[in-house]
Amino acid sequence: MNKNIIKPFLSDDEIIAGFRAGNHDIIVSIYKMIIPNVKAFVISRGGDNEGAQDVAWRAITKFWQRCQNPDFELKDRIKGFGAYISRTYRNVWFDLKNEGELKLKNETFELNIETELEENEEYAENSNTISKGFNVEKYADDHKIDEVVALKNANTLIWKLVDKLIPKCRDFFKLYFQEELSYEEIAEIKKISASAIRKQKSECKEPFMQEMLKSKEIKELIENFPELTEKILKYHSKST
Amino acid sequence: MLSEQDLILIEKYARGELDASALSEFEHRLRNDLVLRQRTFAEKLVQLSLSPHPIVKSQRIVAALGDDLFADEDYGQADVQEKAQEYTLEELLDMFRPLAHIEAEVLHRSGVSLPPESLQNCVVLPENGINCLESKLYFAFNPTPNVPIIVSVMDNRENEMPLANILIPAGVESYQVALPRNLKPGKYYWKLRPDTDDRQLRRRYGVAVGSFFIGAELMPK
Repeated sequence: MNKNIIKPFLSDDEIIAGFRAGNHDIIVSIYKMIIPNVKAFVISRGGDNEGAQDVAWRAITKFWQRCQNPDFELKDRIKGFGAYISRTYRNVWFDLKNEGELKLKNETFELNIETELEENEEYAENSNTISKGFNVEKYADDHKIDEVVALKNANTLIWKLVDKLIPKCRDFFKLYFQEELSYEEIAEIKKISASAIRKQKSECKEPFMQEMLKSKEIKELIENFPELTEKILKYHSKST
Repeated sequence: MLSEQDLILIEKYARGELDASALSEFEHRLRNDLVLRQRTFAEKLVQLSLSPHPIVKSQRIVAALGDDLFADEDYGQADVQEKAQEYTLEELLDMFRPLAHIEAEVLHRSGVSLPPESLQNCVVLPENGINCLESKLYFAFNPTPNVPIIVSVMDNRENEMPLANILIPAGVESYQVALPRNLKPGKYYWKLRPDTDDRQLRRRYGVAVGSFFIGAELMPK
């Protein structure tokens, strides 16, 4: 085969599987692939760079939502990811243009537009807000209802415990788990010392974890679902 | 009771920050130490429950990378800025000058009605006028052409680039075509035509033409 031709870096199935698993490496790769096209399309129609970025993320979000349907395939009317995403970003652009929303320029695109993304909830106000993230139930085997229920219960427990946290600890959880900052970064943002962070960690995180481990929901997960426990233990956020 | 050192290891494991040997050692301990295993499980579960939505996380990565998103490619922003110093305004005007007769063909992609199976209608990507930030062009087709397709790329002086006459197999929905490395900034054109001796097929599919830029940031306004 001619060395000038490279197969697409990901197959359609790999893209769908990556989106289903919430694999941000794949999502970023797709963004990299489509953004030059979206820019060319949007700018040639009077839009600008920021509008193009907004359109690209909205198209990616729509595709992500489609992928959450286990029956979704790219084999029906529109074959192939390229054709699908091209139609999607065109539709997004025309929808935005018709609705006159492309003046979103300096606004942040909030992912609360449809389906499961509507589940975003605020657990407190102001800087202590933690919004619900990726649905943890998706780590359960869809066909094993008891796994799904057990994981759902564990998830609910975690959110109840988060809700009970004092504002200082909730803030710490937000920065550590949701913003995924290191302790050094948290210390810098909060303008406090490393020892103060260590104190927050021992005051906030360890009691939380110990309360979790004492709960019947977590005990049930660990005792009754060893395979699921193993799967969650092995999930490495940076490599998947 | 776990030590402070163990708690740090758990956090590093959960965040994928252990190196290979530390990871292997930690995983060995996980299999044999129930307390460590349960506490690590709790950490992972909280991490997964509270972690940001994958699209929000991806947006953060893209925002944090900024111009470096394409830094590992041939045409990173830094390179473009460097290249800007290498050319005079006249040279840049010349490099980005469109070719009138080819531009007319390019316009057919969105204008003149052509048979649905014509290549010009089949090519949905790349968009015309993309700024090619990677050293490859991603082609997507809908419907998929049922003949092999020859790809050629030329600059705005109609000089063909060294990938001339490469073949996209019949029936594929998408393909990436590698461009020669270190193409000069400027305006370029790609051309697709069916690889067949059948005159009827050649007429049916016709030729598809599109344009792209290398280093569009350098294009004089």
